[in-house]
Amino acid sequence: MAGETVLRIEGVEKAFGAVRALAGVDLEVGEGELVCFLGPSGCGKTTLLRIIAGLERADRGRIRFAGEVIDHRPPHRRGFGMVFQSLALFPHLDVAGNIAYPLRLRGMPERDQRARVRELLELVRLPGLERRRVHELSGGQRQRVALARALAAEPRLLLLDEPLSALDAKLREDMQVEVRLLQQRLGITTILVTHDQREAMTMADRVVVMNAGRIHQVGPPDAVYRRPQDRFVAAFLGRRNELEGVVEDARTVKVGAHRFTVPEGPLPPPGAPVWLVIRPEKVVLSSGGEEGANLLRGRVVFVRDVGESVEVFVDCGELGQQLVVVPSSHQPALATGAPVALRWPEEAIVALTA
Amino acid sequence: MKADRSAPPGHIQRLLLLYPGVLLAALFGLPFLIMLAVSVFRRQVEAFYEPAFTLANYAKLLEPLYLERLLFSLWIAALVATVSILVAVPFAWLLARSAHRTQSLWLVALLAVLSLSEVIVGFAWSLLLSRTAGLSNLLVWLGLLDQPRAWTPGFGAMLAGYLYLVLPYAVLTLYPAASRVDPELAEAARTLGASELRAFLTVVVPVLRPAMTAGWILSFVFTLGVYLIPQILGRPQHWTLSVLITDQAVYQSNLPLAAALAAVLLAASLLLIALAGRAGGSGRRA
Amino acid sequence: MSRLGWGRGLLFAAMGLFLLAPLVVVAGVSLNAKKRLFFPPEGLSLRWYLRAFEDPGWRQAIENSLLLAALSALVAVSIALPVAYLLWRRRWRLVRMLFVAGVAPFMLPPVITALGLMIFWATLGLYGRFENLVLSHGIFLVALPLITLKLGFDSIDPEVVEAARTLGADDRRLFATVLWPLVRPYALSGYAFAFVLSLNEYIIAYMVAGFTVETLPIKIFNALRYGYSPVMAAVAVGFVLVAGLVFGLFARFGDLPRMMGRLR
Repeated sequence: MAGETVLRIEGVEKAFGAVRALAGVDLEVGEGELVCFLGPSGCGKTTLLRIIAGLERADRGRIRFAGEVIDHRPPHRRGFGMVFQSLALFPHLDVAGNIAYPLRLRGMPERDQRARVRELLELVRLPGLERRRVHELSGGQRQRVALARALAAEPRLLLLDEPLSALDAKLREDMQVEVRLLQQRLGITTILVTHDQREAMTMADRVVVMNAGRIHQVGPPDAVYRRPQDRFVAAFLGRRNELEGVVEDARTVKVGAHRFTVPEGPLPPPGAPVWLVIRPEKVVLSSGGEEGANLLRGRVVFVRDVGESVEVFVDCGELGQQLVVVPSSHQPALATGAPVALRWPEEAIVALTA
Repeated sequence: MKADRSAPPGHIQRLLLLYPGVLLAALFGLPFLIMLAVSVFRRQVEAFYEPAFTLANYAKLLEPLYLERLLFSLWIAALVATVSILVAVPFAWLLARSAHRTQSLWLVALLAVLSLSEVIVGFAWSLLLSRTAGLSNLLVWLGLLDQPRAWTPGFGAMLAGYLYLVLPYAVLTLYPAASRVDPELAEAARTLGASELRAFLTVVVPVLRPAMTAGWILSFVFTLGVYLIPQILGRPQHWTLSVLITDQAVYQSNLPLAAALAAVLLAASLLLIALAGRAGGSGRRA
Repeated sequence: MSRLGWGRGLLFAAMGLFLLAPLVVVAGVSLNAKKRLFFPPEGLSLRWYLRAFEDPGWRQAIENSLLLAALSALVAVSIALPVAYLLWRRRWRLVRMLFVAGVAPFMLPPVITALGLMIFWATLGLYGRFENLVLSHGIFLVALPLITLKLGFDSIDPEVVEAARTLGADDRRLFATVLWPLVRPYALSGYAFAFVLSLNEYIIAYMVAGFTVETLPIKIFNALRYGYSPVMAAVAVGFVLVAGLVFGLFARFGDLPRMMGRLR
């Protein structure tokens, strides 16, 4: 965590009728940090964000901001900025009217409002667009106006609810970088909700992976990617190969007739089931002459060249289909049906018990 | 999810209710209660009525004169509603398939006609069907008629006036349902070998059936409520329950009888509207 | 397309003819030079239009009707606005009951409402007063602004409301800065609807104050029984023009098909 803790979520629970949206969530967010709630739709990430914003009330648990319990404070008295999925720009106001809205509510003199709007439009790189109508803006411009409006009153916490989901893929990736740079420059504590793991990896200081109302793992993006704590996290963040085996001793797992040496670490007692997970780009592909441990054999089923890399689908018989990703430059000539060997480097294997 | 419901109950918002609440209770609720009470009172010539409890006003409905009017009212309402719906279904369907601009134009026309006073509609039709200014002049000019003649008052004239009021209403009640029917439904039927008419009859009409039922009932109630057309375009034997209520209340000064007749009309209308709600409600899922 | 196109053209033409024919005759009659109701008109003149404003009886009726329509539509909107707002803001049962009570008079045969109001004012001993007519029309016409305003509130994006809240708006300021600007067109169209229908309303006006306040429809009906005159036709043309103008404006500045229940 970057700075001191400013936001503390303690045992928050929420149900909508019979549906449990949040089943006891604890989390701390540090000053100036960008934390990303990541998970599939319905995992509770948006509900948690809305509870923080005050738009929803938790059934149980507590939210503290800067030491104060804010559960009973209505959204308009929390002083947080929020960007919504639909952006929620006011259709009856122009760009300046939208951005100045929170300033107007706070009774700022109109001259100061105008100056602040100009400053914000420069910040989001839309100078001179004050009098433009909202429906005349492009998707990316609307996005920036929504961001400027959320930042206008200098909020102590910025909440972003899938704000980039309406943009097309290319613009979206540019905006991810831009928003992240802006956030770092302003040093504003930010929570981002997304279901897009690339977005989370691009933008977050820390990722909070959620599923079915629970937090599965919290940590820096690369750590969560490389060292998932359970099978859900491994599956949700990127692609992976998975094999189910049985523990043989402290360093060895038996998968069918194959033996795998795994890195040192806590393994369940011998005889217990365990899952071995590896990222496709860590698997070493060879033409089949190799011998030794951590080795699978199979035949190429399908090859997909996606430009910067080549994806090879290999049928390993009873061990199922495996995926290997290799950089384009290292591409061996692979024909469908060719026999290959896949080596799982010991240090890249993650052994999971659940 | 609509507005935020997490805020504590607003006392100011409760106060906001006071104004519409009091007005609606005093000017809608109370009059209905008084009317129901008066329907069991006795008629008194100097005052409007005198308190009593008698069912004599209701019993009047069983007298041949009133019974005949009641049956005639139901019959004409059924006739007008049926004709209106039969025309309105294809019209609404075709209208919903038209260009947005065409739809807007027709809606303006239908709303404008629907908003016209019965007085004006009655007046206009009495002119159109009159000897001096009417349709018959045109027919004489075309050589289809020997000499101009008046078609009003009469049953045909009254029917025309009724349809003029109810047809736009029927189209507008069917329009939402018709505009929601997926046009690809009929197109799918066409690719499967149905002619255009057949596609309409075998696909569109069944899909619209719940809306048609609801629209028919609403048109029926709407027709029951027509109060001037029979007086302007019909003869005394064409008077309906609505006309009788006005007549008893204003010209015969028999408020208790008028109230009893209105109570019967009210009960019938409420029952029918509830039925229409059920028919329309079950259709929305289709 | 061809056969459907034919059928469509035929049906549309027949409907157009049916709706237009009586109005064309009325318009023609209103242009007669002499005090005769001929169609086609004998000689052309606009004198009956002038007469409608010069003749004290007609003039009074026009003034009565316009004032009644302007005020009663205002009453209707003022009752409908808090109900529609609270219906959107809260799910209170009382509010839903008020909504039904507001729509009901419009669904029922108008004679019933008219008789109820007549007996009500008679019982209070206030029969025949103009103010009572304003209130009576206001209540009768609440349904129109109620429905347009409900449509307006329902069309507001919930996230826009939430955005205003997170930006610092409490209930009151939310209404002033976001809700009212967004529903204002719907309030206006509800007002216009109610205005046109109050102008045309006959039975309630007649039964509540028919012998003391002569509105235009009452005046026309009386003229219908005690002697026709081309002035009636001129006034009737005025009614058609007002209705056409108001609904034409709806279509011009709003999405009439959506307003009338189209979803797609």
